[in-house]
Amino acid sequence: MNIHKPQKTLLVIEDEADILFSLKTYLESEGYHVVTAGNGKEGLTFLNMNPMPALVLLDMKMPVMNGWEFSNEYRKQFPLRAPLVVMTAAADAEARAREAQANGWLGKPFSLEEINNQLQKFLGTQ
Amino acid sequence: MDHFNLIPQLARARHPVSQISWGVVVSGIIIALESLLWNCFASTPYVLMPLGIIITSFFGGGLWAGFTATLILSFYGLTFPGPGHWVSPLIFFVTGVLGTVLVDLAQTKIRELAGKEIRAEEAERLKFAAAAANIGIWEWDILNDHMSWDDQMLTFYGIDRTSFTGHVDSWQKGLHPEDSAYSNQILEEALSGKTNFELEFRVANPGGQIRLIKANGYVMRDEQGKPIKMFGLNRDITEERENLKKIEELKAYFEAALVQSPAGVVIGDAPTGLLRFVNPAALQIAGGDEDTLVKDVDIDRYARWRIADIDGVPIANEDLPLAQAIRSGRSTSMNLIFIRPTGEKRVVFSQTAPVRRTDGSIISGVTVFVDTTEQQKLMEELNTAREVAESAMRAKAKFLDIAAHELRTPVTAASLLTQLTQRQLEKGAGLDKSVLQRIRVQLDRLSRLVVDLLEVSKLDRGVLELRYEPTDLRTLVSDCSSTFQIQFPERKIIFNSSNGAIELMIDPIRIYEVVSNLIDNAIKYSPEGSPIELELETGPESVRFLVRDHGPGLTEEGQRKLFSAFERGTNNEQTSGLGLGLFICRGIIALHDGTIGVHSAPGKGSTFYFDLPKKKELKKTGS
Repeated sequence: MNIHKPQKTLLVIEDEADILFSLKTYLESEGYHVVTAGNGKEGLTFLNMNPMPALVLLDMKMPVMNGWEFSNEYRKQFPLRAPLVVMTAAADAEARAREAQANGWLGKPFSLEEINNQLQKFLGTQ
Repeated sequence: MDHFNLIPQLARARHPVSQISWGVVVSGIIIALESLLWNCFASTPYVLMPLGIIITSFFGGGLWAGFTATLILSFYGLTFPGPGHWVSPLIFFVTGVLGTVLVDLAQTKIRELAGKEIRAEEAERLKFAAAAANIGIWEWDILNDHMSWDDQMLTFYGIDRTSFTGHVDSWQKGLHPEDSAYSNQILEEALSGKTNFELEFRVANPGGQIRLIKANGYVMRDEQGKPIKMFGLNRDITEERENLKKIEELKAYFEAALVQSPAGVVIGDAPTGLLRFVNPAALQIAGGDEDTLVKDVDIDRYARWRIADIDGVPIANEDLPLAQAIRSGRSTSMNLIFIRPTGEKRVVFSQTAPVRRTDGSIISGVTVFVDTTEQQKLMEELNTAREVAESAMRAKAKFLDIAAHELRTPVTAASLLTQLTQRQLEKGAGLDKSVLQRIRVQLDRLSRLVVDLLEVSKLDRGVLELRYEPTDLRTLVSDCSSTFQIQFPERKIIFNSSNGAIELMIDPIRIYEVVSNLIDNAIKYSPEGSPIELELETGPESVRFLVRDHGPGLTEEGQRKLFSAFERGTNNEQTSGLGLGLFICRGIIALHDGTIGVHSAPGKGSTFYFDLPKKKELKKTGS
């Protein structure tokens, strides 16, 4: 890990505490700065008050504001935006991802390697 | 006397009898005049005799009269004194005969010349008319039994000129045997003046062809009224009659079809719209009788049918499809409502059109309608059934989606936590017990979901088995309540357990599951400070358990969905789980022959209850 290089910020939006905990723990160990949000609305609030992160990891089924609603607002409010990767437990994950007009997707359950692949695809090696 | 022989007899009778008498009378007068003059001039007889005979002939108009008079006068001359006894009779005779013959010839010639021209013109005219009308012309000289036919007549009777006898028997032979007697009778009656000669008969011509002929004839009579001549015409009406028959048959077919038709048929004549035909089906659909719905009913009285549009708005007489077809020639097809006298409404599909002549003018309007009430009901039922089925399908698809999500979420969490632990261990870091606890919680959650799914599957297939035991329901509820109270010390769970035991034959584990589920729901869906009240009510037939909460309550729609599999109340979107709890509860209570339900209204809290029949008590003693 290069401490001189500024850390890339990732926004993780997920309502399931254990998943959020796992992702945060893992991504931080990979050298990212991780910000978490429990639903879409919290995610938008963060985006409105902070610089654009490097990437957004988004769960689809959430209370208050779900992934689709978030995705719509995200595209509407932020013309210059970070890549969006959705995490979905739906039967047809890829279709759901297309519906949400996401850049990438992770079908639940997924492995830590799969997360890494997505990050490398959009951010290059950290 | 047989009428066949009567006709030739009549024909043989001699008619100029009256003319002979005339000749005799006039001759007598002249002879008397001559005998008077004889005494004055000796030569007078020689001049006057032939003159008298000539005059006589003119008056009498017949050869016989002349000859008779001449003969008498010749003998009379014999008695005269004069120059030789035989000269004067001879002269009388010769001049008399000559004169008579000459006069008769002249008369005939004059008549011929005058008649020829007229007859030729008439004949042409007649021939033309006959050909145009396809009629044959005949003439019958009754006295001489001389029959004359034109070519058309011969064609009708299927004979040629050579085999035509020229007598009345040519006609009689041509008649169809069955029509012969009748036809001859009509002829006889016509000749005797009783009727006109007008009849229809069949002709069986030699070729075996049978033709239907319509004959008309006129009888000419002499001064005494005796028939002397007949003339008339024959018309071949075979095809005309066959066409008429076909039209009548066609009419009969159509009428039978219309009368039998299950569809209502109503025909009204232009321009008044007076109903000329209404079939039984129409009356049956409208629920009325002929007197009210048909008799004297024209457009102004169409309201008797009580017809409304599909929205039930009555239609004015002149706006009804039949009136429109008759008056403006408009064709329509639309749904209508017939209101029967009983008030019952029948929905019909009607099609109406005008009937036109070839020139386009309207003869009448026809409306045909079918009663679609049952059909519509069926369609509605089918639609409802389809909607229910589709909704069930959608619910199932949605459930599968939820199930997939609900199962994958704990799997994902457990998997990620496990992978993290693995990494930590690989890096040489110690085991994080809190992470292991998290994994265990997720696996427990997964396990509960799987158990729920299995129970639903068993209920669905009817293979969930109960283990009946004599159980005190009060103790059961009390135990369950205490467990929740320990788990949720901040909630106030009220249950009065001091009353007597309620012994029932039930599966205690399953019933405990139900009680637990209902209490759990009450805790989940009501505000934290509000109490949960539990009650047991004993009725004569059954025992009721109630759980009362002070939560948001449920709409009717929400209550309806509550106990179905794969459906969830609307206000618990954010709660994870499959929403199978109440469905399983209902299944368990149903297996106990009990019922489960809820009393609720938005803002009024909810009271869930189940009733268990007491009859299970009997089993306790038996088992």
